[in-house]
Amino acid sequence: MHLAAIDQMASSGASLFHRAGVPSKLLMTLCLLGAVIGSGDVLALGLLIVILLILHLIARVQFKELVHLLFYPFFFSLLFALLKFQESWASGLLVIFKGTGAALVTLFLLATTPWVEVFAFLSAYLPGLLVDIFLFTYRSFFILIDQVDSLLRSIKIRGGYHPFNVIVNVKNMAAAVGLILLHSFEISQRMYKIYLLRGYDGGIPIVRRWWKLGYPDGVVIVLSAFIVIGMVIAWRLL
Amino acid sequence: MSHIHLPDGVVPAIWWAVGYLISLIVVFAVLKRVDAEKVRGRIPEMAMMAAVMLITMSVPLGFIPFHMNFAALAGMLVGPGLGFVVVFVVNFILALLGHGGISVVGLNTLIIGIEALAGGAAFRLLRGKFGAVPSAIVSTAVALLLSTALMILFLSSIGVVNIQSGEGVLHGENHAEDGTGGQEEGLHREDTAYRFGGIALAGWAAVLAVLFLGIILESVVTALVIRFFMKVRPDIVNHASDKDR
Repeated sequence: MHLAAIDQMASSGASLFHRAGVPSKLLMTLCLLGAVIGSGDVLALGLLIVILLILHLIARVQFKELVHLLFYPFFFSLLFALLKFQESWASGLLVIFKGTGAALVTLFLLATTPWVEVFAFLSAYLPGLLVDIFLFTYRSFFILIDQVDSLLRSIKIRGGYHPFNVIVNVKNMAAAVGLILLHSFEISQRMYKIYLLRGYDGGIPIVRRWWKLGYPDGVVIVLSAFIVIGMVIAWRLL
Repeated sequence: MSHIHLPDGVVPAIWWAVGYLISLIVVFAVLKRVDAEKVRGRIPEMAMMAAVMLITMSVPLGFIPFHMNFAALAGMLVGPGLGFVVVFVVNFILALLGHGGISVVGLNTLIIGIEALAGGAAFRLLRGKFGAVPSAIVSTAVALLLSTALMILFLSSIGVVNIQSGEGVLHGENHAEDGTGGQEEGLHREDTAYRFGGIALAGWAAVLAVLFLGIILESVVTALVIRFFMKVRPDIVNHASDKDR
């Protein structure tokens, strides 16, 4: 999982896209996703992917992390594309471009926007309980990663892993999962109580004025419009 | 255990739109039905369950081509309805990270959500009669069978799986260089030939062998986790019998 690295990029970045507001970036994400999923033109999609890579470059996204995360969509779309290549090379490429293009779009949003800000914006529209689960899952993930890391190390040090004894491994694995869950439950319950002590009563209070648009928002909105218009023109040319 | 790893642009729009619609209706119905104030205190448990699922679904087991979901476990620990909500959250986060297309989140929620719904409901029904551990094994096995059947039916209906030969059902054996995966469902070229020790299986025989192993493994691990909880914190398992979960 690369959630920690993505989170670090989103929180510490200072590019134009990092400074843009959540609504404008969500708008751009929707426009880009619509363009990627709806397009049937290989050249237009290829161009869109080049634009997306340039955007990642401008936002100074770490390409090492990006390549790791793009492996999933690329690999799965490649397998399906292999069947499509029998029809035509364009059909095969289209599948690969759509799979990796959509992943590039969502990763761009995550690499330039801290999760908490996305949840804060969504909390205005989604049920408070759902937003809370998203928010606490995000927090819990980091607690869990720490727990898993230290537990796996102690299992190995204390001889709990037997390469050729599946039964013992399954038994130890279940105990490890149970122990991790239990520890993490207790830590997250404590975290929740601390939230309550600090005045948390569900949802995320929004202190930002989303409707106040700045220069970075203008750039993002113009870019979104440019991409949508560009894709529509490309469709009509077909 | 079941998870559709198809990228965006492969599943016809009508399918994924209906998948989103039904899964969102179920999520909103569950959230509307529960007592928000009562459930709020259990958010840490739901979140932790979601975090566990995020990790287990990202790590393929290696020796057999699949990963565990623990959705049935989620149904048992947080309740069937809230387990379904947890599955939606997990699928959404995984899709944002490129693990499964963003357009198939709804379909994945329905397929994996069945594990939470069926597993949680069956566990609630059975545990009074047979005890926690046997009930956990049976409930998980039933839930996994249901979700796998649903996944195969869906994949065959869109032409990704050959229902006659069984080709295309299993996860791949290739893994990402970071060790996180590379498994896929429905699209593998060589998945009709698997080796189990000295025995080579092909077609539905291979599919059934892998599914059988996967179901046994996840059922046993889930039951052992439930047994562990019953020993040290039975209140967590007993919470699941509350009416509004």
